[in-house]
Amino acid sequence: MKNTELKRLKKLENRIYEIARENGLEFCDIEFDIIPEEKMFEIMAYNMPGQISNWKFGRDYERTRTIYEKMGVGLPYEVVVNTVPSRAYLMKDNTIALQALIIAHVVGHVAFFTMNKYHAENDSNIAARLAAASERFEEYERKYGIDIVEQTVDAGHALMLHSNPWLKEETEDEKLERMFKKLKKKKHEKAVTEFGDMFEDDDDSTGEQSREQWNHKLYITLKNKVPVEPTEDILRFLIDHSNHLADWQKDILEIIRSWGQYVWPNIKTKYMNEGFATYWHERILRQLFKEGLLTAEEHAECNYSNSLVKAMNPYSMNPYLVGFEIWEDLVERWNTGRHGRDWEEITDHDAKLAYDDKSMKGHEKMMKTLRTSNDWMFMNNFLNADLVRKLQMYLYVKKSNVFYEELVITDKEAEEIKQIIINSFSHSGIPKMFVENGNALEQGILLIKHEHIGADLNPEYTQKTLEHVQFLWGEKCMLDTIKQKQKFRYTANKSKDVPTFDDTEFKKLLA
Amino acid sequence: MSIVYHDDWEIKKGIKDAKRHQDKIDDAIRKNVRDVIGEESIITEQGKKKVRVPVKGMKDYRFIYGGNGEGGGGIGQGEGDAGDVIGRKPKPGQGGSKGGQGHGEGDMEVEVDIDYLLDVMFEDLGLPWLDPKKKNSIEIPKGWKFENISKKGVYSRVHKKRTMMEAVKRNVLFVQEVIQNTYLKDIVEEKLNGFETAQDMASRALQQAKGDIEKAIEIIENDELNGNESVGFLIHDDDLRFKVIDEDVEICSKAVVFALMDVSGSMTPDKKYLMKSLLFWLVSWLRKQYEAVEIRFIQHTEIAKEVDEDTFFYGGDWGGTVAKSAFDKANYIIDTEYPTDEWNIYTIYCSDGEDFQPAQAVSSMEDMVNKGINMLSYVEIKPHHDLMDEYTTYTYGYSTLLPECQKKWKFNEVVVDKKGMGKFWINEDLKFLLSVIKDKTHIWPCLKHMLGIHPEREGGK
Repeated sequence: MKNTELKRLKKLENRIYEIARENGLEFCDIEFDIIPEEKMFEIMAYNMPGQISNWKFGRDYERTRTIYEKMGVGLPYEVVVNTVPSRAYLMKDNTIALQALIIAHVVGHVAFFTMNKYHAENDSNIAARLAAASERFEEYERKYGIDIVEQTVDAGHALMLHSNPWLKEETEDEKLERMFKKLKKKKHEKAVTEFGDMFEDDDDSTGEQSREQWNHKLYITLKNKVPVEPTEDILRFLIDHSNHLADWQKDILEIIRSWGQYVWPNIKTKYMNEGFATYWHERILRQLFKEGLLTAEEHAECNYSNSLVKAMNPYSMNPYLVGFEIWEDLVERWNTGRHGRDWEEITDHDAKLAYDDKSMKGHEKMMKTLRTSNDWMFMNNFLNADLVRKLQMYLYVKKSNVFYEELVITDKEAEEIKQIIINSFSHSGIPKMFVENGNALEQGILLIKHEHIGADLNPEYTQKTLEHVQFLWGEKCMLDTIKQKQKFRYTANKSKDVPTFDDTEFKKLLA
Repeated sequence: MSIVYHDDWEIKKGIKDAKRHQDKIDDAIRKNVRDVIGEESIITEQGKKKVRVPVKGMKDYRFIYGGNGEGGGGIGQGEGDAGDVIGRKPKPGQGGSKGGQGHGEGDMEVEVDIDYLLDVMFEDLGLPWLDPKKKNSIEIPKGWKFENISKKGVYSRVHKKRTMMEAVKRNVLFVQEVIQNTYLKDIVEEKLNGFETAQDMASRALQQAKGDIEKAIEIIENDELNGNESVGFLIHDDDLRFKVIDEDVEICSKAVVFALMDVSGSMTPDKKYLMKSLLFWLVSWLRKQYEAVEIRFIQHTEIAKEVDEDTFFYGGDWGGTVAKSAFDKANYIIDTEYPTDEWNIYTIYCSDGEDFQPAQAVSSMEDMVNKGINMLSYVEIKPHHDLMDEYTTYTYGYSTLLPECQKKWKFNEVVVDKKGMGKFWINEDLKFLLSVIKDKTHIWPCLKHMLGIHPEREGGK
């Protein structure tokens, strides 16, 4: 890149920041690196510089490269690392116009990270921690062999989203204390359910001594229960309680768990975030053009790239486009007052469409929503049937006849599709799993329960993932769910002979 | 806030991990090669150098919703109405039998070089003839030929072109030598066309000196160039090259495959698919062994006719079953077009075994075997749902041809599939293989035995 170009880019960068701030975007410092395309593909595949090594990243790296070779230049590739300061990358051979688009888009993302509450507690050290870990893991590969290191990393990756970064982290002792107090309180409220059996013979326990006895009994029971309370944090549980893991494996899992926690907020806000960044890069670029900082040709080039970003995909929703249209619709409606009961109650169709109270509250509403929402709330509150139609969304299913597997459109009914989309965002589409018992049947069996909320688990993926859990746990693992409206149990065991057990006894144990 | 320009990035990790991924794919292909060979997608992509192969177990497993196959779906965007098809792909294993395992949704497909796949297959088969030296070639005397070159010989056999080439090479060196050792090298540097002038003078000096380099240098240095010599070059004795006479032998490496098939009504698409699959791999393998491979397709009912490939696999006919007709036809073609001393001949015959004239068929087979062909393979296809299966397993009540063959010759029996149908009978001396196969899981063993009796005829033919 020539010096003059770099100078011009820096000028554009500064103006982009100013425009963003004028529009109420808050964001931390951003450091841009201009890098060769190959490096860009690597960072995209690894999601973060310093990421640990694994074949999946290698696969994605190759894939990105191939796509780039086929699609050619023009696609705005971007990676933003959510740290403080933020770090972002520009591809060396991009035109100035494309760089400006990416800078504007990145500013949108960083503003999102800075303002959205789900990103508030992000670990800004993650990049450094990963980089250090990456070196340690290479050492493990040399020491223990790549196969077992890889197996551990794969298992970690399979489970990394099964922890909730917004839950307060508690030690087992704290948990025990909380559970003890909770159950004790319950006991006094005579609403004892879970530990019913235990309390039966304690009905007349009002005297001091029997209360002490009761307390002790509760304490012992809880103490013997692993986990004290069902936990979503599968990796945490495995790290703390597996007898099978070496320290270096725990190190790997700990890092991957942190990575999962870093990724979670992004998953939870993907549509909002991409839509927001797209919304702002469009506006900022328009402004730059108006101010004469971009030529008409350059602006046209930006528009072309922008159209690639917002292209419809016949097989899935494009988060850039869908997010963008929802924000756009929201701003428009709050600018004109087309929301709330008064507006809803207008019966005349044309009048409803033409309504405009000139309230101009669009961006105010946008920022408010931005701060407090996640994708599920965003869809719930702002996706409407008109948007579904505008975005030409449809539902398709896979059908097969003698010769083909076909994907067939089955539904275009906007209200139904809207509801299906909203439902799919519940818990970001990730099944909720709880470690229920680490010593089921007194045999050291790990029992996981799936909180079934309508959709069944994918059998192949569930079985294979349970095998990952089994690898980390060492002993047999079971997963209870519902499959085709029936109770169903997946099992994974290293040795082929699974101990048989009496189901009634098992139920009693979990009662 | 800043934009920093970097140009010195390493891409160590990406390359390392991409390699690891590739190794895992190779590994997976190795492990699955037996399943892979039954894949319809490979067989149908004829003439392609690369094929798409499903690779199992390379997914990012995690807990997700959704089923495999039927019923999967999602939300898409774009033009289209209810009922419109937005995507379509051939059903995995379509055309094959039920026995093979289908692959689930999202199995990764990778592009693999068909040669690589073959290498893996034959490695897995434990076949030794990947060594190119072992290629089954035939040497045919063709008279005499001049091929080798010698420095000594008679003048009548001077190889003019090679001699000139040597002379040119030497002259160029000599001219350079003269230029470098005289004031000519100054001319090269100083004058505009100095190089051409110097070359010209050096060349003429060499002519005048009759090729003596020392003398030529002297001529230049003493300015004794007489101007009589033209630019050109001398042929030195060392430059002479002579042709050598050799006995001319054509190394002939040709094979022909006769694909014979019963196309009477009972040959369903399922059965034809198995034939097609076997033929595909046989031919692919032969192509690695021989320079040229031809395939002749002969279908028969009561009478036989030669057809093109499409008709062979996708056409059909009604009528009786007389295998003799097909073997007679093939024998005729061999006699007239493929002399066995020039061609390696492979015959594969596919039927469901209900032949009307088994004894006559066997006698035609005998004729063929006696010609000294490289392999005869009779593949009897009995898909699972055939009536036969319900009767005692190996009585072959519905096969007439197989027992007839077994009556005529002695075979060693090999059982592949304990409970099922994959059974093979081999006669090593005759290079004759009988097989009964049920579904695409038997393609592998069938191929193994077919190639296992491969014809490394001692001393060639």
